[in-house]
Amino acid sequence: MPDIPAAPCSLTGLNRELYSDVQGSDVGAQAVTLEEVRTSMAGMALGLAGVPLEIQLLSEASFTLANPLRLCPSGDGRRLFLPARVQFFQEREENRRLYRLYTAFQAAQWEGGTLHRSGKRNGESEPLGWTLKFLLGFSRPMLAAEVFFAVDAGRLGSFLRKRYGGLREELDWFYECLFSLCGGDFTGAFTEAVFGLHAVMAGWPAPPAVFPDAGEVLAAARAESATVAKPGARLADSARVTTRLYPLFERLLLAGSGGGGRYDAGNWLDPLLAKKQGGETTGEPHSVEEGGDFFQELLGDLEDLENLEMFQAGEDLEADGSFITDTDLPKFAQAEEEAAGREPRRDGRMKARTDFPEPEGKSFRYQEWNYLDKRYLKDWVRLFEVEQGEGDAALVDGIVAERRELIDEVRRQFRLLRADSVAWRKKLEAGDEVDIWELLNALVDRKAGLYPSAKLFMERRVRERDICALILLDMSASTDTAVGGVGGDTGDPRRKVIDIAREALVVMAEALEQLGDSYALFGFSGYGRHNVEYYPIKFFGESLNTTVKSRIASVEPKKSTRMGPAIRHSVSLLERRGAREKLLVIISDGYPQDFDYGDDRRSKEYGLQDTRAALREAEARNIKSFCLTIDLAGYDYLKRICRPSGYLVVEDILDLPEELPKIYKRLRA
Amino acid sequence: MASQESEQRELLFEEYFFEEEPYYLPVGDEVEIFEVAWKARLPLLFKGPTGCGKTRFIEYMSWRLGRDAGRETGMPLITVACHEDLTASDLVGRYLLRGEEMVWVDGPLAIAVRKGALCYLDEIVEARKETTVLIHPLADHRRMLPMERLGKVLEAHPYFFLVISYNPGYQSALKDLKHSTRQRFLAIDFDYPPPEREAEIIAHESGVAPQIAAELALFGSKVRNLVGHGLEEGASTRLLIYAGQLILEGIDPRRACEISVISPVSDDASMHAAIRDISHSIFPSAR
Repeated sequence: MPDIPAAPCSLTGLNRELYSDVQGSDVGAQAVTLEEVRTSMAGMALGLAGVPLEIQLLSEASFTLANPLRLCPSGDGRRLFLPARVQFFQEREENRRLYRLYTAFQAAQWEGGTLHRSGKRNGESEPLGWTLKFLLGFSRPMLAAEVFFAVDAGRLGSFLRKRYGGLREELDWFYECLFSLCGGDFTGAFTEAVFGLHAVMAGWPAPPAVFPDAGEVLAAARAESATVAKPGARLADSARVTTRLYPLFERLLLAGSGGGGRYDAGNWLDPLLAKKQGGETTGEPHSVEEGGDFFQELLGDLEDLENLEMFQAGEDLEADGSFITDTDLPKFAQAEEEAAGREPRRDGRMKARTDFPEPEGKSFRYQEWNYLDKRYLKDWVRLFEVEQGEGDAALVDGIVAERRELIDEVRRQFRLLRADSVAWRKKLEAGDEVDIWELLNALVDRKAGLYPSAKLFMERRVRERDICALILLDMSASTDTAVGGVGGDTGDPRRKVIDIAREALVVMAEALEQLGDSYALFGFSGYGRHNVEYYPIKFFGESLNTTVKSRIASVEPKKSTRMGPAIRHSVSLLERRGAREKLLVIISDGYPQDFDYGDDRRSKEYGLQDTRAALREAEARNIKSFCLTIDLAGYDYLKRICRPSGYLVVEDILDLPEELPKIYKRLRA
Repeated sequence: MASQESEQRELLFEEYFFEEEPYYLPVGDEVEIFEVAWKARLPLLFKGPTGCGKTRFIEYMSWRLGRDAGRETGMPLITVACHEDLTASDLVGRYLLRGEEMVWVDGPLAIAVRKGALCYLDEIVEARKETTVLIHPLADHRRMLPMERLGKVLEAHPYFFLVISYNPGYQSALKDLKHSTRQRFLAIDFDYPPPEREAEIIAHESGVAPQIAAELALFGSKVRNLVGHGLEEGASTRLLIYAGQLILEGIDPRRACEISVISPVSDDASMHAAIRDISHSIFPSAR
């Protein structure tokens, strides 16, 4: 793989800092780290783009999207690339401004038209799909990408300046800083021309003194910059300008003017373009002279679609709420290929294991929320109710004996809950007893010449606590972790997360038995959308008998964490119950994830969004849900998928058995 | 201030109507639907988030219907903010002691039914169920109000019209409004207006320049993208108007957004930071 090009020497320090994936030890007081701004940048990006973007390190970005010659990195519509740390500027606020600018620039690619929802452009399923297809039409796609993203950045910058007054200020500040550092001294004429292109498109005059060897191409770029800077410039404009400028850069490259080898290193493509090329046959490179047929056709289609979108402006171009089926989404078919055990894809995704046998048991089909397309995938997931094995019930008795003190305390608290079920209802016009305070107020009012209230009575009402609760346990492989590795605990390394979760189940079950609420215990795991496993540990109506205890004893780590369908199945079980109040408590140890939970297994966003949708579905069915996690990262993601009062991060895993009854008590109140 | 106080009026329920046209910018066909429902005397249910214009719409329609009914002013509009202690007597009326006498005093609903007013029961789901069922005979073909204490039934005035509202964003709403109540009403869904319309509303209501109003509307639309991702409800048009009013008085736009939107909509520090960054993207540091 070719080297990353060196930027003009004065900018080297900044670039080294931005493209580094480590924070290092020489952190100044003015430094701002990604961890500090991660949550707020994710929120800002969501606000500006309207779609959730997953934050990744800038150093992990594809070369096509971000490299040190760029003024601002580009995103791919799903990920937001930010540096691990910025301390280049003297002031902390200025370093934070750079994060804000990078975030806004990448998020604005949605609004500015560089990125598109799937299916909206030429049937492309990737937000950047049309662009990648366009780039692969050139004989040197990497070079074309550099030219295109420079031109399109100019278009986006112009768009942002017009629409966002605050960002206009940020761009002016940043470019001024950047160009003040640029004093020539490029590694070759080609690098000079490429950086000059970025600068010209950003609106900088790019004086010949700084770019002495790139005069011809920069003059052409200057002339073209007006095309993309005009109000209403669209993606097609950027693409057309690219086709006109590309030959100039290619000639410069072929002239061996230095610094351009990385754009012409054989047939090398970075993973983003390679993945696209692997996914779709593009055939031979196409001529851009006089607008080859390939480009004419591609651009013509794009312009037709852009015109249509403009015509439809004001109408909702987003989800229509309809279902789509398996055949509608080629990207999911790719995941299918993996499931079928074919070769792993070029983008680094792991090859799917296929040695898991199909579970035995009753199966159910559930929809899944595809946040990228804003649609439900109908009957997408198959969930099996798998019989939970039986272990040694004595293990549970041992836990009861060991945690006797806690169980007694929880029972005592639950007894108080029963007492709470009787309440006085006040301010009634007729009732069992006179409310002395209301009467007193009424007498005072009457004495004062005011109309006294007639609501002087109160009555004692027994609250009907018709409750049923389902406790759902994440039995993913990660629960096999020793507790010493979780939540900072340094306790017994032989005890695993699943052991503590088992203890929590036992404490809860013992206490709930006494309280009299109807409750059930289930676990879930699975692997892939066709094999979500749902393990009944205790059904509603079953007592805490030896069989149930043996099932609790056999709870063990399994495979993945496809949380959405497990929640949906729990909801359907709760819906069958006649109780007035229904509670769902989910105990997990990390992100919802599965190898095909979304088309990119590295992305957590799909699983989070589906889980969020499943929780909303529960809420719409009047089921109160609560997520309890021992994952400290839960602070970041649970607030995005749960209601503010609907989650808790248990920082010390050993507190789980104590926290679970507290949560139940709170939910039940 | 003193002169303002001297202009304050104390009005009977049935005397509260609009003499001037309240400002309302239609977003869809809601005006047309309301008028058709009014002609057929079919009660209406407004659903929508807080601060999106439900109350202003009923005020506007009360004025408009008054003109249609040949009045020089709007129809009387009686608004009841529902709450959990609201009883049937609070709506229908009660006997009160006046000197040595027991005197019957109509509640706001009975006044509306008797005098022919628009009755707007705001946030109906907050009322107890036994109170809510009281409106059932008024909300179907019977159009009558049973007055149990008097042993009478009050037939509705021809101009009586019932409108209820609630915000489905609140979790309790869906489960608390009985189906027997829901299914007596036509429902109009309200949402925040599209940015161009919202900008027009903000400019009119706050008096800010169109450019600032457009920026505030853009800000509102971006903040609403965070709903369901840690934000319970988006920035309402009402809050954006407040921001506009602050800006008009010379407060820096970023600070105005902080006070009128960022802090009110959430208590979460990271959410504040995210919305603040959005506001910094839209508004320059100083004007």
